[in-house]
Amino acid sequence: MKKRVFALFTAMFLLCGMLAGCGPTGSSSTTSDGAGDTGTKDTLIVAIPESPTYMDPMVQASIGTYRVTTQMFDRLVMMDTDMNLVPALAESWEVIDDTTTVFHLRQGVKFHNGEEMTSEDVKYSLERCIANPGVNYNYLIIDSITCDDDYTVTIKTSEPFNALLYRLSLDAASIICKSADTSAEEFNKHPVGTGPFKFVSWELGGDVVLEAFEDYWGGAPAVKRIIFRTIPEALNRTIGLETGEVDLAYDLGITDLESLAGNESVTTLTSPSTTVWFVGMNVQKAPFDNEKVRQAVAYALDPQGYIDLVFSGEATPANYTMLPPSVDGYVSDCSDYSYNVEKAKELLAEAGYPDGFSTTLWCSDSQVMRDSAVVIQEQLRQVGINAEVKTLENGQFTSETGNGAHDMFIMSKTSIDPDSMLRSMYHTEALGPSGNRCFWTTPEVDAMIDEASTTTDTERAMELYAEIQSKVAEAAPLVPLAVEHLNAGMQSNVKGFGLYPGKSHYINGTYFE
Amino acid sequence: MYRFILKRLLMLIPVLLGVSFIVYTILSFTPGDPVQMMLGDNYSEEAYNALQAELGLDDPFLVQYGRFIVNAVQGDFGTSYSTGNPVAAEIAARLPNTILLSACAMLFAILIGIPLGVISATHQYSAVDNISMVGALFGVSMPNFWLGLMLIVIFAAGLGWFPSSNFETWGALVLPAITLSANSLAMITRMTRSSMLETIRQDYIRTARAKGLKESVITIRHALRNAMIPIVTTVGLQFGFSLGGAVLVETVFSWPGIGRLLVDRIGLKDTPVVVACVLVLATMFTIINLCIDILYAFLDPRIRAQYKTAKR
Repeated sequence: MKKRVFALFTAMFLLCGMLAGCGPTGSSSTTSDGAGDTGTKDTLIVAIPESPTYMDPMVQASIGTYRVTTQMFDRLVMMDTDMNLVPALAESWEVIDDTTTVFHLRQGVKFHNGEEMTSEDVKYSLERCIANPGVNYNYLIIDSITCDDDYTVTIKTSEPFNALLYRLSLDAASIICKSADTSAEEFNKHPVGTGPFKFVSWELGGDVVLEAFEDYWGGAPAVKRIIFRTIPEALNRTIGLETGEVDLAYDLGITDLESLAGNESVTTLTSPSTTVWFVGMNVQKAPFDNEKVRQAVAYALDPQGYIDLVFSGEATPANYTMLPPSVDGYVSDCSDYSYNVEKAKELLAEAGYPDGFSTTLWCSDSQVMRDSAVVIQEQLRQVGINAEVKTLENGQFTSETGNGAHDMFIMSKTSIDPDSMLRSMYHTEALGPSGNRCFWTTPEVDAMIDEASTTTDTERAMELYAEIQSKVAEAAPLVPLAVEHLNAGMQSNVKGFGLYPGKSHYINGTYFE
Repeated sequence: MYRFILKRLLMLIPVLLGVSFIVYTILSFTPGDPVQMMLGDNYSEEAYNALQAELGLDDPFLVQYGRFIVNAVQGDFGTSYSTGNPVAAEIAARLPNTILLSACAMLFAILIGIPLGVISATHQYSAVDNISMVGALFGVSMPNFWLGLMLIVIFAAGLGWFPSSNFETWGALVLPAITLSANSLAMITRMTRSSMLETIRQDYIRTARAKGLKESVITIRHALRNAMIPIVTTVGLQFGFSLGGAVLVETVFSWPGIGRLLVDRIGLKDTPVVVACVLVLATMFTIINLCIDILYAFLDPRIRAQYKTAKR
């Protein structure tokens, strides 16, 4: 019997040995530089809600990925926190004619591997982007890219297109090092760009570590090391801030923002994003084929009430336009809708529905969607519209609303330029899964969107955008309700950080006090 | 004995085939399109068709499943739809973390649960017994994600004793391991107590006592040893369940294990990764059960004799 007991203990002992073998992946050294001494703190630990999927910015359009890659790669032009275009790798540019733009590159810009950036790299990067179906939809308009000399690049579009600069400021248009991509090493594992931070390591499922690039053309960054740590639960990101485990945390829960307000060691930032939430109606189906019914819905909905309940007040009313305030072309007075139950009832009666009607309201299975559905259902009930909420799994929701199976639906859309927003919402080109899920189009609005995107006269474009916004507001195929807010929390010694409306947040410029 | 083990290992094959078929079927027939998810909400028809063909998702379901199985048998689980990494690498990076977490949780549950159960049984209706039984009831009925959040709020945010998510330090293991072990600890304590209670009323215990043996010897060598079979069964089952429970605990504590991988990828309809994760978990569950059956033989000569006759 003693023998057996001995065998049991041996087995347990072996098990313990095995466990010791598979301890935490990092060594203790990684810990110490995270919580380093206050005097020499230069490592920024950033809590992100979703892991990046690639280190290569040209595989897939994903915020999780861009939040990391945007620190490593620059574009020809970039956007600042107020969404103004600023020169980056292109020092200046000139519009030669309707379809041709010449970019003059900054000289002496170094890649992380020490090579100098030239026009060849720019041409190579943009062509690589256009060749990749996961990210190329914004760039198919580009017809040719030519290198005039080492520091001059000419980009021609297949037709006049004035949103080119916006598109070139997106992460998919990052400039990568040609020789690094054509070498034997896999680019996704050894990304090389010109950005302020260079790649150090990325464990599957673990932290991403970046290091300051001392030869950065804009000057060496103040933060010497960034550790991106995936913390999926919003509550845990808040607790990470409270315990000091993380220096900066993206996308905090709205209720957590309130609890952090009283905490002196943590600062929070919020600002409007470019994501707009709206209620859409399928105009191919009765009763939404009737403009009066759609206008009645616009009057029946109370954007502020919606924001208070769904976003705890942390959102900006959309003013009945799909363009967020930070995007060029936005007008705040495109319609005279306001929350007015009596007016809504009147319009319904005029349309032949004095007692309202029954319909379905489609949403996908996420918290914001479900909350939105309940609030909107209740607001519609006030004017006699009885909407049954239909909750679908996200993939099914996007494909079925794309096929026009729905009546009313709730959705959000993010965009940084007026053309991509208005085109995907209202243009005939975008009918169905590409974005126009209300199936409302008119040749007139199509022509206006096309003209606005091709004219080189900025004033004319802005006039057209204003006109489009009031036209579509009158027809009301959809009712824009709220512009979502972005937020981040940080230790109060973290300074200089700003939120980018495009969500990817550029860390260079952030420093410890 | 070896034949017995071999037979049990062979039985793994139909189990894994069945599990993979069910999971693959569920993922294929539930709504949601991986190609659409990879491309986002703005894509052309050509891009869609090209990617669908590249992933082989335009083939009939049985062809897709067949191809998956043929490759999997050769050790190739394919590449992830969502990240493009080999599935084997994705799992290999996270599996040790899950094993570490589950094993620590079980070790904790065993080291606390068995002694507590024994004391509860030998001191039936005492304060220790009552408290530990109420505690066990608490542990069994507590959803572990809630317990995890409470522990984070108290010990990480409030007292600051342990990190809430930083996975790099050993201290980070404490809270998730306690959370994960709560249920098992409760089950093991209860099972030890009831099994011990049954055993200490047996005649041979009275005999041992009559022989004048020390009480501790009676409890450990005579009673506990005979009470071990149901306890070991519970431990084995709980170990298996703890791998499943890790799915929730890993999410709550941002623990980069296979459970969180599974949850993340179900949302992305990443079929190869999901099926492979489930297969790994099923294999581990089965192997743990096998180990338990083998342990029986060490503990009980009667069962060992059965294994021996089965050989013939």
